[in-house]
Amino acid sequence: MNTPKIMSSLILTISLSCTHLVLASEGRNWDPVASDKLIKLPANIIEKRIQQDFEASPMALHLVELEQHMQDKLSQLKSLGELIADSEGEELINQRFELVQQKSEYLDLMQEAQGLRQNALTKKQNLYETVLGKLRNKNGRISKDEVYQLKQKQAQARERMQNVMAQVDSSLMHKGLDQRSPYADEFALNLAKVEALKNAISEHKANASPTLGDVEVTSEEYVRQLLMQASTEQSLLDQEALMFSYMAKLVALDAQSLEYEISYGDEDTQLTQRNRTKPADVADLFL
Amino acid sequence: MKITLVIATITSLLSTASFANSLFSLENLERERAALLNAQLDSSLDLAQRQQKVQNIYRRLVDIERMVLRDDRVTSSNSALAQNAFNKYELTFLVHSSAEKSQPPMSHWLSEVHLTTKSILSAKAGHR
Repeated sequence: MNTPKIMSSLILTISLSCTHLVLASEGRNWDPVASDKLIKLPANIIEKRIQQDFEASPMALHLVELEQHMQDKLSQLKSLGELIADSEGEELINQRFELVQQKSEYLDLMQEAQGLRQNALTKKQNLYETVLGKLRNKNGRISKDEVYQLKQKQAQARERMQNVMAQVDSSLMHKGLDQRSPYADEFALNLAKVEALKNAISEHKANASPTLGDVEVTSEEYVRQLLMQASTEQSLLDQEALMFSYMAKLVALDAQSLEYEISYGDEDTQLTQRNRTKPADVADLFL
Repeated sequence: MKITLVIATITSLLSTASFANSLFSLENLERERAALLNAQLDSSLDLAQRQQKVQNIYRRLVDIERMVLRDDRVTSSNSALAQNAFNKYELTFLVHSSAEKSQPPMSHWLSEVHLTTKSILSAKAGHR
């Protein structure tokens, strides 16, 4: 029976699987790019666009496949566990061996999925950092821009004008120019319509600022929040990786104990002393 | 595809305004302002003529100053003329800035260029 040899290779596989990177995921990549087109989108749409891009990638599709395989493997493990409860002898050993092997395969799938998730999260973090950097650059560039400065001056001047408009209008009356100009008439007429249109624009959902818990935030703040979420996910994935390594260790120990059991028997089995002829027992024959 | 076309059309509609002379309103304002100062300083006009002329210009200046302040094309041009106009609000928007100080535009202009009755009276005619 070459079961011990298979068991040894199984233990080696499990041990190695804890340390080496999964190469099977090569070619199932996701390469997001922080393009200018992406930066121009509203921050909450940036998040959705990135998620959508990821879900359409070969990496995400492979993750779905892996999840399906893991579910299948899990049901096999459950039914094997039930079978073991009713088995004994050689059949029990075989089923326990099968269980360890299935657990090992499950862990392989789990590790591959874990690796892909880590990879995707790292890429997402890098992407958010690039987006944040570009947003900051854009805002910095705009605030330093000469046109921006000039527009600010115009806005201040407009405010000054608003404060004295009534005064200027009344001075026109004093000067006997009580008839309003066509420009002033048309402007006043259009103003209400313009305000209504502006209100409609500001209330339009496509123009809404991103919100965090019903509070409106800037794009920069929203992306910073996304980075925070990515850190949280990273931390949880690290914890999952730790759980995974403990599970792999347990399967390795199961396999090792099964190997010892097959090779040396059950630990309850008493070591039997071989009958040997003691000199004292035969001494009488020589007397 | 249709949405892209609609967005492209809207964008082109919004950008047609940029083909017009972006400093048109500001140049008009400068002309009217110069005309106001000319009318005030024109010694060939009698009091009634001057008042009539200044009133007409004043009426137009009120509108044109407001037009310039509401015109985004002026600031988008980032020209030296626009920079200068907004750096010197007191002199550019003569009617509205004089109203802030409750002064007639001419008195306001004179005080902004530091011309007082005293300095004019103490001035001597001569060659430089």
